[in-house]
Amino acid sequence: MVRLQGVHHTHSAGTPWARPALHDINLNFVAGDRVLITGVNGSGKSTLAWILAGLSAPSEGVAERDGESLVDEADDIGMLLQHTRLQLLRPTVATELGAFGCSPERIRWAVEQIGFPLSTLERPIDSLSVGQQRRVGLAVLLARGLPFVVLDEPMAGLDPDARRQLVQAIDRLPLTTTIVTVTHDLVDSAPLGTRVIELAAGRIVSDSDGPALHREVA
Amino acid sequence: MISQFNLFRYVEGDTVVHKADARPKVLGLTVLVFVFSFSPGWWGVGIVWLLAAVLFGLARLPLQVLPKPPKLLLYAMGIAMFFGVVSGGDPIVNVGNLSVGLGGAIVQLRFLLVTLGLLLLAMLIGWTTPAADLPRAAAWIMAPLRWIRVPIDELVAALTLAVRALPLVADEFTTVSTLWRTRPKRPGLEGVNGRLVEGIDVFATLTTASVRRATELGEALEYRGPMIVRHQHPSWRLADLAVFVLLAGASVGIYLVPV
Repeated sequence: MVRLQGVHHTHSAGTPWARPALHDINLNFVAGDRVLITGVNGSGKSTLAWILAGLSAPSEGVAERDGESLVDEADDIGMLLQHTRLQLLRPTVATELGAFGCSPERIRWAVEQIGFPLSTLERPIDSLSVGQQRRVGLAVLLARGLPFVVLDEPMAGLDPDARRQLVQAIDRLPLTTTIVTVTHDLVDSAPLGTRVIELAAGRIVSDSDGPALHREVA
Repeated sequence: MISQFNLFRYVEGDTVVHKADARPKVLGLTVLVFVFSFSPGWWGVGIVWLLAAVLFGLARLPLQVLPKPPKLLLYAMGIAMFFGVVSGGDPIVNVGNLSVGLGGAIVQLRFLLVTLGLLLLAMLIGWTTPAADLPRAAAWIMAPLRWIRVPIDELVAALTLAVRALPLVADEFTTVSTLWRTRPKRPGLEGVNGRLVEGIDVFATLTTASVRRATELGEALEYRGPMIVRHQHPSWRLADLAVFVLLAGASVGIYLVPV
């Protein structure tokens, strides 16, 4: 279980540029949860995503998974960035997928799951479009079979076809995987969550289940 | 990592250094760097550090603005100092049966202090001047170059966009280095060899990210088309003169005393 308790976060804490981003965040996620975190720009969504992914430690409070600090568990948490190119550190799709110790069969399976032909494996990362790079990022998460993944604005900048393909690919993550999706676009991201957490000015202002979301969106 | 240098991050303030326009600051620093490059002696080092301390105090900046140098930089400085020590040279110090020539280390130390001192002055200007004012100051300083048909307007436009893009690039550097740090180590590539290979991959990614930003800058310039930058420059006020006199005075001091 992933647990945030009394989490506060301030960027550049202790400097003249200190900027509070999160206040008193208390959240629990269990295996298989599908959660959407939403809010306007500057509401603290991305900061929360980084803390959940173990990429930064909160200034105050507890952020842990099964009793271990999320920062220490970062190896076992998947993150899909909006600017996915920044996390694809290898020159080709095959070398990127092969960097995590997955078997060749597993890699081929992951590539098929995201709807790419196997020939894509030999393509350089920089020859792929933004949407394709994001699907490769997702293939990494699929191949690694991680129990907890965080998706940061996965739909941003994608055309309707690419969005549909991405949703299909995300659907192929195991049912036991907890997926937290950070988004400001509830309409397109609705299929990705059964629970919606709304942030405003760094605080949780609502935490509701999926059907409520669909009514609001409608 | 790069964002730890706190470049171009304005600190709110109402001091004489804050009130001074970007023009005297940039011009004064340019003159100082020019003069210092011809007289990089210990006297000059002392003046630069004293000047930095005075400006820091006048600007009432908190110590927390000072950057925390990344370990990699400290290691690099340590290695440079080591080579300075082993290169020997006068003066020679005898420690028991061992004779150590400190000449190289002293030169290395002076080089380090010159670099850090000038960097600190540049950062001081960034902390006390809104970043948007810097291209305007650059346009003013470079204006005489129009006589020899240097494309000042284009240079200023590029500088403006570059200053705006820097925080984005810094964020991307931070993101990539954080992700790299938290990624599992590649199987079969442990130890120094593995770190080296990983380092090359990260460098390639950072280069790609920077090239993409540079491309965006170029496209932005192209879409804007030819632009003529003509700024209104108000007359110098007391604060402007005070800061310029400080910087110019330091330059004169460095010039008058031989190395």
